[in-house]
Amino acid sequence: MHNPGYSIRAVKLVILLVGALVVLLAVILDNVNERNDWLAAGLILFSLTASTYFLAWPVSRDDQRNWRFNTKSVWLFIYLMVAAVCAMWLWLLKT
Amino acid sequence: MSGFNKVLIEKILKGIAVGMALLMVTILVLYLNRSDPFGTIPGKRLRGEEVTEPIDDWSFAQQYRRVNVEVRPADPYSVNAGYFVHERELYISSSKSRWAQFMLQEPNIRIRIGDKLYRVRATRMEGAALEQAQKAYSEKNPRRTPEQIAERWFFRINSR
Repeated sequence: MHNPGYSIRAVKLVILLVGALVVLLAVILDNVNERNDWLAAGLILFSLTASTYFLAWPVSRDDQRNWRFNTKSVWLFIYLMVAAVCAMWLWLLKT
Repeated sequence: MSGFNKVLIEKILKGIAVGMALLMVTILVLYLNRSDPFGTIPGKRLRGEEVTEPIDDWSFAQQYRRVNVEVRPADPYSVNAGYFVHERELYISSSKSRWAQFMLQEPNIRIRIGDKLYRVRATRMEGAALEQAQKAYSEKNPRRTPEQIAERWFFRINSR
């Protein structure tokens, strides 16, 4: 039987791997340098997809209704920060 | 779950995130402590030995790939700039960028060629002087179309 959850996970993994591949190829073909727009684009794709694995609010209530910090949101924040920095980098290159 | 393991992927992604976070912190520290421009990222006050004698012949600049321009003396802002030398005069050209607008507001700037700093004044070319500068620029940059050249600003650089 078709499972939609499985399809979404598979698509996410494919996008993640495409992002990683773009980063890898960009580094192989043009090294790590500030003019490498493919590197920036690959990192954006990878970071945004990776962030979806850690979607969580910074705090949430536990079973006893106490507020608890969600460590998962730290990883979400890091990936979104990397994506934002790379977006700014790409914008600087294109303006 | 067949095919892939979500827990394993998250573990790998956490490892990558730690590396990226360390890299971002390093970049942030370097950015905040920057002095010279780096690629398209503007810098602050340029470092180098300042030359006080006036320069009449800028031909020596042609041996360098780029010049650094420091504008807005009150809060120095430096960039890598395109330049060319025509009949011993030094010219800087720019799209209507932020730093070029700063240069229009305050034409007294500093430029660095090689490791030497020069106190100069930038004069925006207009009329016949502009046409002459555009012609010299197009000879040195044959790939640029006339439309692209027409959109650029040209400044002649003189010692002050």
